[in-house]
Amino acid sequence: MAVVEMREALNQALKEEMTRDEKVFILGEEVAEYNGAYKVTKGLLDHFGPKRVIDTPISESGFTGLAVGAAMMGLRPVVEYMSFNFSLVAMDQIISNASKMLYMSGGLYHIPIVFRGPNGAGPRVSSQHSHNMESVYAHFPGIHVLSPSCPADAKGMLKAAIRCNDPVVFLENELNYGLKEEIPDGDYLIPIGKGDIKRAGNDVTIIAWSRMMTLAKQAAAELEKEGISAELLDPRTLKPLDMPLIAESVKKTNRVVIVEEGHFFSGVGAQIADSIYTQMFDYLDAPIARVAQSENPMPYAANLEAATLPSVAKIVQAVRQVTYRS
Amino acid sequence: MPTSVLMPSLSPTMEEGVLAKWLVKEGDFVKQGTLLCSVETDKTTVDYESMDEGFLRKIVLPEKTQAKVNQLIAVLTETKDEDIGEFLQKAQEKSQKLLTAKIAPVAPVPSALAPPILSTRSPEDRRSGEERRLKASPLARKVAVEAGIPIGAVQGSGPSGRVIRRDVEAFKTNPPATEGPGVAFGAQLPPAVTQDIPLSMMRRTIARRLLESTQSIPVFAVTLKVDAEPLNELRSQLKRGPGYKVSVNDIIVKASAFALRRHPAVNSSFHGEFIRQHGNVDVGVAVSLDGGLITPIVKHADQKSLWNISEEVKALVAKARAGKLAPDEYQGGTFTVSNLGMYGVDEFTAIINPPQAAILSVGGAQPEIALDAQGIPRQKSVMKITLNADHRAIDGALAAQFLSTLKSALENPAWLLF
Amino acid sequence: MAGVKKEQTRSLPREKLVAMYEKMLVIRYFEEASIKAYQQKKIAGFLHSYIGQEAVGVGTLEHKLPQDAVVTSYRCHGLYLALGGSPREGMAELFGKVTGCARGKGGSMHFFSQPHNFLGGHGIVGGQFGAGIGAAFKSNYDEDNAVSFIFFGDGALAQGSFHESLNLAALWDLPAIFICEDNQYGMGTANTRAIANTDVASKAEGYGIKGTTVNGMDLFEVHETMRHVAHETRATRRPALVHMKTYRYFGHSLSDAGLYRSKDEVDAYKQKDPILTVSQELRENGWMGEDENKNLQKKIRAHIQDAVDFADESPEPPLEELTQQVFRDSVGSD
Repeated sequence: MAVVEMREALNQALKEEMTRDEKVFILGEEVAEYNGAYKVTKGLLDHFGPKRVIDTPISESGFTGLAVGAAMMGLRPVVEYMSFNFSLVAMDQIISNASKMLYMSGGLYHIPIVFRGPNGAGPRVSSQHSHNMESVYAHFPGIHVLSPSCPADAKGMLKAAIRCNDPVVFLENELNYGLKEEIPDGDYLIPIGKGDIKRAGNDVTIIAWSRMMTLAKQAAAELEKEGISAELLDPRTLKPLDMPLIAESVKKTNRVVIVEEGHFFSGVGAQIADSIYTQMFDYLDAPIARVAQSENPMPYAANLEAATLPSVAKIVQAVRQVTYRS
Repeated sequence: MPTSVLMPSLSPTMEEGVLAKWLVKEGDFVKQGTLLCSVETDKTTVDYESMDEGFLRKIVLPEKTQAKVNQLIAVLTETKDEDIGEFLQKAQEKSQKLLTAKIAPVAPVPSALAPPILSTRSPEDRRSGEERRLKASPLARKVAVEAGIPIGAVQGSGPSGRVIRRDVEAFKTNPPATEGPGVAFGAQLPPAVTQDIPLSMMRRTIARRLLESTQSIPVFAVTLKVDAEPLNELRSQLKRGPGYKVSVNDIIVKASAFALRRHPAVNSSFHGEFIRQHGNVDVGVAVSLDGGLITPIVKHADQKSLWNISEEVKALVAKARAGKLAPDEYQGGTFTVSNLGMYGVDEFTAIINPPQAAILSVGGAQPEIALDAQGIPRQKSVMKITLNADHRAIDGALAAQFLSTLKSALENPAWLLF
Repeated sequence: MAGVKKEQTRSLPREKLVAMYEKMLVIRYFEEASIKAYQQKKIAGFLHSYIGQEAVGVGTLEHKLPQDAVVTSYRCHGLYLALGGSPREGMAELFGKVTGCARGKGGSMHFFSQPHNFLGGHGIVGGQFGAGIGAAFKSNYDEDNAVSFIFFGDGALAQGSFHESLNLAALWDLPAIFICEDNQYGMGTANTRAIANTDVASKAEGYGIKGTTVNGMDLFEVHETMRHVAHETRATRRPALVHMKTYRYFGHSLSDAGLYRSKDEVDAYKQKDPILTVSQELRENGWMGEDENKNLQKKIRAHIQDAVDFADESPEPPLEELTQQVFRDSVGSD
C-alpha cells in the first residue's frame, strides 16, 4: 500500500489503462507538453508519445466531437476538460451525440469515452469557474456520472470508467487533487454503480461525494463529541445510484442528510431524496435534510463565497435537525 | 395501372380538409409537381402538388366538399381512357381501410416500464384541517402499527408535535392511562387515481349483449328510501346558528361525492375497450333553464366543504341562468345529480349523461308512517333516491352498495361537515 | 450526336453512368414514396427530402472505399441509399418499425449503417462535424488509409462546430472532405441573409487548405471533381472543402410550405434536374432507349413499393425495447 496524492492515483489509472489497451488515448488542453493543468497527465507524453497524448487547441466543441467520431470507429478516447465549466461549450456533443448515439442508432454505435476533469468550485474563482455539473449530466439517460472522494477510489473508478463501453462523465475536484491517502497496490477496479460506507454509524446517514465527503468526515468527528453517531455513505457513482446500499443504511439510521456542493434546486441530492422517500418511506423518522449550494452565482468576496458553499457547520446543523437535537 | 390520389395531410394536426378547388380538369395530364387542387386545412389553404404522374381520369371528391385525410379524392391513369371501374371500387375500399385503421391507439405502457407516478398527498391530508391532521413520521406509524398502538394516542415530541419513533417506543413501555382520539375518519381510503381498467372477457360480453339489446346505453335503475329527518334537522341547526343557508341539493351533492369516493367504480365512464375510473369527483348539477337543461359541474366535490359547495352551486346556477357558463364549467363531469324534489316529485328516473356511467334522481321528502327502533309507529319524512346506471360499467350490486352508502351519509349528515 | 454510340460520355463509361442513374432514381422514388406516406400519416415528425440533390450524394460516394466513413445532417436518406443502404430498412425506419435501420428508434433524421461506416444522420445543425473528423482521426491512428466524407448543409456554415472542425482537421492533417450541400436556404432563410461570405470554397483559404466549387446539379461534374478531391485527400491526408451548389425541390421539411421562394425559381432548377439530364444523355448516346428507361423506372418504382409494403407490414418495436440500448454495458444494481 503506497500513500499517493489523488492526481497521482488518477495518473496511474491512465497509464495502466493506456498500457493495457492501445485504443485508449487522451486529448485535451495542456495535457501533453505542459504535463496537465493539474499534473494529472504528468509524464504521459514522454511515455506514450504525441500520437496518444494530444494537446488540443482551446476548442472543446471541436475535440469533443472528434472524440465521439473516434469512439464510433472503435477508439477509446479520454477527454480531459481543464475545468468542467468548459464542457458547457461541448455540451451538444456530450448530450446530443455521445449520450444518444447507441439508442438512436438502434444499438449500432456505442460510445466508449471518458469525459474527465475538475468539477465544482476552486478557491475564489468567482461565478463562471465554479459550476457543479453532476446534476446536469445525470439528467440524461445514456451517460454514467462518477465522482470519487479519495485517491484509492479515484484510481479504481477511473480504470473502470475507461473500460466501460458507454460514455462516462468523471468528475474530479481541484481541491482534492492534493488529497493524500493509501491506495491498494496493483491492478484493481471499482465497479460503476457501487457506493461505499466511509464510516459506520447508527444515528444518521450522511450522503456525500467528492470534496463534500471531506467535509462530512469533519462533521462526523464534531457530532461524535455530541454523542451522535453518523454513518458516511459515498455513492461514488451518482448515476446509476447504489440504492441497495443507501436503503440498507437508511434502514439502520432512519435519518438522512444529503450534502452536495452543487445548487439546491434540481441537485443530485433532490433525486437521492426522492428515491429514498419512494423506496424507504416507512423507515424515515424525520424528513430528509439537504445541505447544498445556495441559489446564487458564486461570488468572489471571501465571506460571500463561504456563505454560498456547504460547510462543516451547516452539515452539523442539519444532522441536529434530523436527529431532533436542535 | 391507375393510381389513387388521397386527401393528403398538409399540416401536422390536419385530420380533414375541404377541397376548395380543383386546379386541373378530368382528362388533363398531370406531372409530378403539377398543382392538383387547393385544400383548406385546419390552418390555411394549401395548393397540393401531385406526387404522381398520369391522366386525371376521375375526380371523386367534388369542390367545396370536406374529406378526411386518406379519403380517395381522384384517380390518375396511364392512358387517357383507361377503364377504372374495378379499380375505383378497390381503391375506395383501401382508402376506407386507411381511414378506419388511422392512428393506432397508443398501447398502455406496462406499469413496470411506466415512469413513477408523482406521489400525492394522502386523502386524509387533503381533507382535514391543520389541527385535525395527525403528524407522525412514517417510521413512527410503522412501528405503531406493528405494536398495535393507535398512533393518534401517542403524544408527539418532534417539531409541531410530530410523533417520532422515540415517542412510540416510550408509549410502548409506559402507556398513558387515557386513550387518545381514534384514527381519523376516512384514513383508510385508497388514493384517488385515474386508471384505465382493461375489460375482462365477461365485461366485454356484457357490454356487447346489453348494447345489442338496447341500441344505446343499457340502463337500469335502483331506488332507495332515505330518512330525511336528520337532513332537515341539520339544515335548521345551521340556519339557527351561523345563518348558513344550505339546500337539500347541496347536501346531496356533497353526499354523492362522499359515496363516489368510496365506490369509485360508479364514478366512471364506459369507453368501448375499457372503463375509465375517474380520479376526480366532478359532480354535475342538473339545472333547468327556460328552453332546456344544463349541468354545471362542481369539480373535486369530494374535497370541498359543504359550505364551499353551496356557494359554488349558487354561483354556477346564476351563471347558467345568465347563459354565461364557460365550456369547462359544464363539460367533463364524472357524475350527475338531478333533483326534482322541489317540484313535489315523489320519484323519477333521469337519463344518463354520456359518457358518465350513472345519474342520481332525487325526489321530494314525503311524510310516511314507519316503525321506529322500539317498534312504535311514527310519522317520518322520507325521500326516494334513484340511481340510473349504465350496466356496461356498473352492476346492480354495486349500484345498491353505492346507494346504501349515500343513504347512510344522508341519514348521518354530520359525516359531511368537514 | 444523337444515335451515335460512344465509349464514354464526359469520362464516364455506360455501365457506370447507368448504375449511378439507377441510384438517383432509387433516391428520388424513395423520397417521393416517403412524402406520400407522410401525407397518409404513416410517417410523422420531421421529414427532410433529398429530392433535387441526388447528384451530389451519388456522384461523390462513387469514390468511397470500404474503410471510409460518411456522416451527414438530418437530410440523410439519400446518402444512406447512395451508399447501398436497403430501401426496406430505410422505409421501415421512417414508419417507426423494428425492422428499420435503427430499429425504429432513430427515425427520419437518424439513419445509420455500420457496414458502410455511415455514422448517421444528425439532428443538430453542425452536430456531425465532430463525428466526421473523429473518423478521420481514427484513420490516422490506425493508419488504414481511409478518408471521411462529411456532408452538411449551407445552414451549418454559421455554426462554430464547422470552423472548429476545419481548424482541427487542418491543424492535425486529418483526411476529411467537407462537402457543403448548398441548397441555398437554411430552412426559410436564404443564405445571403445568414452567411457573411457565401463563396464557401474561399473559406478554405482561412485554414490553409484547398477549396473547390462544383455544380451539384451536374452528376458528371460532381463525379469528376470528387474523384480528384478524394484521391488527393487520401494521398496527402490534407482536408478539403467542397462547395456543391444544389437545390431542394421541397421545403426544408414537410411542414415547410416554402413561401419564401417562388415557384418560378423552383421550376428553373427542375429544368436542370440531374435525373432528367442524365436520362437525356443516356438517350442521346444511344445507351438507353425510351422503352428501356420506362422499364427501368417501373422496376425501381416496384422496388420502392416493395419497401413501403415491407415497412407497412413490419411490427413496431416491442415495448421491452423502450429501455434497451441506452447503454452497451450493464452496470450497477438496477
